[in-house]
Amino acid sequence: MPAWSLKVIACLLTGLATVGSALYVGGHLKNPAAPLRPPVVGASSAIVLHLEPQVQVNPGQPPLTFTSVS
Amino acid sequence: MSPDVLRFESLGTTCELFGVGIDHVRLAEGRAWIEDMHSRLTRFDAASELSRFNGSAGEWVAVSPELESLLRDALRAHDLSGGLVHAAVLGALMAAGYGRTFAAGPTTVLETVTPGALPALPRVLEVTPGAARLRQGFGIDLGGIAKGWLADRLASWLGPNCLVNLGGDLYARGAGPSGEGWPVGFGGTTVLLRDRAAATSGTHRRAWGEGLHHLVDPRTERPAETDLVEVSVVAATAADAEVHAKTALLLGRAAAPYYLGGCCSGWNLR
Repeated sequence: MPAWSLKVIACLLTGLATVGSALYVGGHLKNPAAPLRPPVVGASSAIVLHLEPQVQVNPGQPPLTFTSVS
Repeated sequence: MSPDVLRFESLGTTCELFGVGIDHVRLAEGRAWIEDMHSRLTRFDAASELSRFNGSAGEWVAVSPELESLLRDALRAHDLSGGLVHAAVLGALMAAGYGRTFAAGPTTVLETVTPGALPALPRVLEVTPGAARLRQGFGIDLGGIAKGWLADRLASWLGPNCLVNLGGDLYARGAGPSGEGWPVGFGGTTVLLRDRAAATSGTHRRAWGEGLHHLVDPRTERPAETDLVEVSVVAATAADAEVHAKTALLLGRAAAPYYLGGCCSGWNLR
């Protein structure tokens, strides 16, 4: 393969990468008004339930008793 | 198999004893033990062992094995919680208006008392085999740790398949009625607990005014100001669960998950 063809291919690849990147970035502009995910503002009143895998859950089974504030 | 159950009022709350293959006589003996311990450990009776200890004015006094164990557990709870679960909050509770049983209503709030950080519990309370000493001017309230301690011990005595629930602080021992674990209401769902405990701490019960409730923050000697209303946890023992729930409540919503992640297998923050 002649040397000039390698230079042309390298130039084409570089050009394609530049144009492709510019198009992608242009199509994914940051929206400063987008809501935070996960929501941070307003999270203070949220109920947070966390159970490790070793704690078995059966939501359909009626409990015999409860843990609660006494 | 349907479990036998015994419900009764003691410790200022509702208590429930469940047992599979445990006869009613044994459950009744368990109830009698709880009632006996209540009469010995209440701060609302001047003749109780705890009240006499609180009145010992800095002297070494002999204590029963049960009180000794509870006082050691109070020191352990203080250590486990980084000082946030502090049994020597009796003065702060009295100043905040919790001077008699909750059912009897609040007492006068003492605005003249200047709150400040409590000294670390080991500087206030010393325990040796068979004896203990409380620094003069301080008082012990076991309300924050006694129910968990009692639930653990009663469950180990009742039998291999039982559940002891003392006002929400509970220990579930064995496989439960169906063999899958004891079904317990926890954070709006049902968890099946087997050889595990759960407890809840909150500020919305035993509250008697704006910012006045029974959970004292030892850093301020005032009822805790926290952005959490209630914390429930699943832990290895009821005593631990009680300590962890209260610690998380005092730490607040942002820090609680980091703390609980290191010690508990489940939690519900509200």
